Amino acid sequence: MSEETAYFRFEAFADAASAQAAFEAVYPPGSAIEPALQALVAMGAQCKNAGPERVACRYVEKPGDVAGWCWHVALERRDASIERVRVNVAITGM
Amino acid sequence: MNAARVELMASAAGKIGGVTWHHLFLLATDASGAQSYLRAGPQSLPATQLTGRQTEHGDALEDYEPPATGPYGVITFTTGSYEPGGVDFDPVAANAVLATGDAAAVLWNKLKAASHAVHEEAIPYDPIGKGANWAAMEVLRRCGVEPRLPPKRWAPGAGAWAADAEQEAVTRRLGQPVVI
Repeated sequence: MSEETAYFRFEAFADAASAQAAFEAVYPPGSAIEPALQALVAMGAQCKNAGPERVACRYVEKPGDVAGWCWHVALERRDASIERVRVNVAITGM
Repeated sequence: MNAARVELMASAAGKIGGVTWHHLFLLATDASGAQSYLRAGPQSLPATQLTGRQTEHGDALEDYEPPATGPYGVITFTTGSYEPGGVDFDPVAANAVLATGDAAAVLWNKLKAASHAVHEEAIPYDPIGKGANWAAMEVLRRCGVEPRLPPKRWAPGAGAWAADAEQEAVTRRLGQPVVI
């Protein structure tokens, strides 16, 4: 019997509200922060500590396009758990 | 915001021919350390880039109306708080300081006015011409600033290269616009 794995990808969304809702469904506040960070890094996001309890990640879709979606995620943590998620998106171009 | 420092920022956004290109935006920092961005971008993306995507209202294509000026619409400026999880936040972005102290406050106000003017002109967004980088540099030019890009950063559309990069003849030719 196989177990379905929750999966999140920014490429399914066109606004921050829907992406944040989906992200929080997979990585809800109170859950461990490590899997969320691992998933973000695995998909190509650049993550960096932005304070003692906050990690900021930036994910540019399809690097190389002349204009596309650039996603920003801030994960606030308490101990090893997600306390709050914030997602934003902008269209980035040259 | 009473800016104490204004910077031109370059954030890596992709690669062309193996060369990383950067998205430019402007950043102001006040005396308390609070930061605001000012950035240009297209009004929208082509419908092909919305296919299969969802918004909080459903299918992204359902509410899509193609802009009259083309698939990317017009050059659009936005401003807001620069903070983790916010638009354009990039802790590893390169920077070039444009002004500090009182001059920064004056420049930031001028930049906001200039960006409003460019926005009102409804200039069609051309992703390989008058795009986001061109617009960021244009508002600086309109404020009398001759900006230098952060060193060794390629920003197509900006129309200028950092002096440091020009000295590196081995790599600068890739994608470099011809300036006559």
